[in-house]
Amino acid sequence: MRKLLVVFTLIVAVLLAPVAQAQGPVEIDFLTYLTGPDGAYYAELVNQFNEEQSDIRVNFLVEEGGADYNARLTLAIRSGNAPAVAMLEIDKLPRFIESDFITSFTVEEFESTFHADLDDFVPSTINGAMANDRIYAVPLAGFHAALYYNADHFEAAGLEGPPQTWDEFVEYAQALTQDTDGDGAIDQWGYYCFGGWPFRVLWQWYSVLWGMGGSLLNEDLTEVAFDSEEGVAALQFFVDLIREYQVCPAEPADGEQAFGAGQLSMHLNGPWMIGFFDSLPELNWEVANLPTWDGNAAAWGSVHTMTFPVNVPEEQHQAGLVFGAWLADHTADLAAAGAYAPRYSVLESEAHRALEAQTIFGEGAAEYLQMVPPVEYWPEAEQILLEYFDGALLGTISAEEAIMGAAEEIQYLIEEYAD
Amino acid sequence: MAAQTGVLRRGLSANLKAYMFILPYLAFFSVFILAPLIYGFYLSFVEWDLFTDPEWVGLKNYKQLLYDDNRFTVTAKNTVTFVAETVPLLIIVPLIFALILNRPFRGRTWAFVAFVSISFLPSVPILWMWGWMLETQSGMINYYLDALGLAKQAWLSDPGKAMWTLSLITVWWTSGFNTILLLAGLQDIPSELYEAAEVDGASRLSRFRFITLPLLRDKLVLVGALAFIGSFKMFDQAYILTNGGPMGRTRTLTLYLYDSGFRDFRIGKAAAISWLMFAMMFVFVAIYTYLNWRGMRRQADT
Repeated sequence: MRKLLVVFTLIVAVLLAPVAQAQGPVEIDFLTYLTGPDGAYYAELVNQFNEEQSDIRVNFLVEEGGADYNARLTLAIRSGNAPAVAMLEIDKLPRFIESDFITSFTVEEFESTFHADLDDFVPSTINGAMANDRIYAVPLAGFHAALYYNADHFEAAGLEGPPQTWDEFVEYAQALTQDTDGDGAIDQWGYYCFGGWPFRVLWQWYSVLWGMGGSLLNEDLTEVAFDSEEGVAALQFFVDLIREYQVCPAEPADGEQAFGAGQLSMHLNGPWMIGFFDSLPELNWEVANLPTWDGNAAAWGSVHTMTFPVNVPEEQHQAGLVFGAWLADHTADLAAAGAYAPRYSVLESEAHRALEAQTIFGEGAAEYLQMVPPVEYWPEAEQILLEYFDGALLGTISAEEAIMGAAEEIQYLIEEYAD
Repeated sequence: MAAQTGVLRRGLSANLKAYMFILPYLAFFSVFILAPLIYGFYLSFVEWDLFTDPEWVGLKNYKQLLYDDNRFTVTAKNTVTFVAETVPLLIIVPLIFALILNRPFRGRTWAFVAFVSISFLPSVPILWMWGWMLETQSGMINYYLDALGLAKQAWLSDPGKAMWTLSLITVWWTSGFNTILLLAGLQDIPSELYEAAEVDGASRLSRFRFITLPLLRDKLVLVGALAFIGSFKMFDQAYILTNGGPMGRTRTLTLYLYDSGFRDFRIGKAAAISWLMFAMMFVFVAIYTYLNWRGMRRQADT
């Protein structure tokens, strides 16, 4: 009798479990690649959302970014285990858009779901999320390369304010590159051209290339366009910093660490470094948008966007949209994480203006921000560029050889993908 | 008849029991080794970017790699270079360690731990640590070189040095396991042989050449084969320390396979690279086994 009672109880418990589960909050995953200090801000916001209501519970997930992240997200979508909300960088969207792996909205649907006017978005941050008159992602936070500089070094060298042009940048770097302890070796460099995070080599080259009026691909994205005078000159600029002006070490060195340690006077990086540099009490740093080339402002950048993968149960998908709308409403809070809001109304708000460094980035967004071509093979193309640029910066090949060699290989890549 | 049936039943029953014992491993082998092997072979004949469905392209991936892909050729050369630099050292250095550890001396246990334990440490912290120490401007090694009045070296960024740097780190990190194998082999050699040789007036070098090396042959062959396979599929060092640079000079076949599959979303190409690697290793092992067999026959004849 007792055994029968136990078995009966177990059967009832198993049958009732889904019902019990259904009565609790809807659980959804928010997948991001924010392994840096900015991740903590997003985690706090997620906690805040969970505390403010009890119908939806969001799990904040962080995975290492880059190639692995995109591959894992793709496999998750294909296997029906996708998160309800996933972060993607705007230049990674093309593959997902082309394969219909992420939900799209008409303009009206977008504006009503996320309580946002499309015109409120800085154009460079929303255009990459659109295709065929539909919107595939919600821009959350923008970032672009800017120039961090050591205010103490500038003052000691008698320099006022950041360099406004790249020519001025060279003069400043020459004044700042010093042997401060008189031992015959330079211990304070004006700039580091390469080393540490490898993609900075490309960010600086893109920025100067675009400032010079050059471009990476032609308009219909079928041919390489950087094998031009501007492409060579932009790379030669950094080679000259090493070899001719000698304001950069001839070997790779990590600029982030050196700038933080006060050994480097100027450093190109994104707004995610704000938190780290702020945490160093001895570092008196400032940030400015990049110098211009003949008055042309340009800086490599990108945008964190929020997407809603397909193949997600309807209940979770709807919960994801509710959370997404809430997060879009809190864009100003995201700016504290170290990027800037991609919306004019938020950029002009008091809360955003109180964030000095983010405001500088934000002010530059409309004018400076340019992104890499929205083509699926660009990560592969960047590896090709990096290999050739390594050679030019190390002095093994000339800037022209590097540009032409990379152009030939990338053109082959374009044709391969076109087949 | 009844007796034969009885024997047959007992045989079947014994076989069934044997299969039941190995069933868990067979299941594991089928699911995690055999099935992926077969699926990977199929994938090497398709083009697949994970977003769309695989498309059958026959031998296209193999043809592109072997005839059109200059990077594959360069990467294969890099891999062969790394193997050529590390395998001899991964035999000689552990042999030296094993010879030292085979003699009694004070602190031998600590020396054993020091030589051997490194090879059991995980790759990531070891390689991160080396990356910091080898940093050109602020790394510890260049700091001390500079303090001694020597020129700083671009250990990981000089195209002529980077692969050697990875090779030396690999030898430092992985010699321990080979040391254990060779030490066990040395300890199997009867000491009477050395005593008799010493009585006959054989020098230390002669004893090493005519006793130690021949009797250690099997272990040396094993260590060589393991070193080759380990070096051929090197990934961690290139991924963590150089990401294949500078100028692609440290990009190995496994790193190229990883980049093709997970960065470039070319699953078919990645699968084809893995099967070409298998073919290369198969050829090596076949040649190695033949030479070893021929050597053993010659030894047996003498």
